Amino acid sequence: MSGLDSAVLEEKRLGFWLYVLSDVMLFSAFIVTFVVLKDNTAGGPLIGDVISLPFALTQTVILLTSSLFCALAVLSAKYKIYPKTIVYLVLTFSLGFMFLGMEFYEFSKLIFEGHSWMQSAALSGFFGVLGLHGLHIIFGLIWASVLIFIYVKDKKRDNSYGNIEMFGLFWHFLDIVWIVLFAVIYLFAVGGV
Amino acid sequence: MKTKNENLKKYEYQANKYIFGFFVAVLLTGLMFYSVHFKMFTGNTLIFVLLLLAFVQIIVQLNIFLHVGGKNSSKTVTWSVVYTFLMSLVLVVASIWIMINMNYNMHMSPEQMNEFMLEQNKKGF
Repeated sequence: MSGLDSAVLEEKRLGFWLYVLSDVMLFSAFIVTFVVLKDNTAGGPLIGDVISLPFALTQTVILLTSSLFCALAVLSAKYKIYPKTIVYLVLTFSLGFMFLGMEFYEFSKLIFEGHSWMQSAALSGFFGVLGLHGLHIIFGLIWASVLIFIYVKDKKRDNSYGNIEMFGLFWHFLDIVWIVLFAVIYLFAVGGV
Repeated sequence: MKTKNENLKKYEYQANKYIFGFFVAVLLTGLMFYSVHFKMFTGNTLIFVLLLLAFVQIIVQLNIFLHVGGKNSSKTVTWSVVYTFLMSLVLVVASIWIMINMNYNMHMSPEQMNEFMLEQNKKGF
């Protein structure tokens, strides 16, 4: 199936899962910080007044689509259909990049309107948790571009199945975290709870 | 040649499964958006509905995209996921529980608490 010994792959998988699960705890800590602080606005606006829900929905759909392409990239690498792998990886990367661009746009808009993380505890929590997720996305994009390079260069790609599978795991994990953030930050804030 | 065809079939079967998972995820996201945008629920009901929809979507994504709890998946991973979920639940619920009872535990009304915080803030670190 791949150049990797399946026992080695199994070990890699477990090791990477342990990393992902410890990252879940990190995100839980940031999310709960946000939830506790979200009403401490120090005279500034509530989160629900400065964000746009359709914008966040677009981001969600983009990230979900990126996640689907990532799954297809891993699958086609498993069955060694490499041209497809490259196309899907490029799509994954571009959609992830779009997501990051939108987040960057949202952040800079808020900062230029004077609602930076320095204004209130609520906004600190908001920028903290979204910034953490954005940083993960940046690392994911770097990883994706390395993978594209490997699959285009055509030398080690038979041995790279473990690499691309772990990338898939990471990317789906970020997608799942985003669903929670979408609910807890955007939907709760706009719903007024 | 025959194995190649079989592989292609397996590939297509799995790919369709992923596409199905994607549409379920989009549908659930749409429902979440819909329930907030058209103000179908308020207060605690809204919190419950949103968390439920998010939870269902997490289960769907874990099962379809990350193969957790499937036939060929590792039991170690599945139970680690369950355990981590419980631990993060403890972290989240306990933190919120402590923080919303903080005023009571400090023997202050919310207004007194606010003044106390402002007073402390002037002192700096």
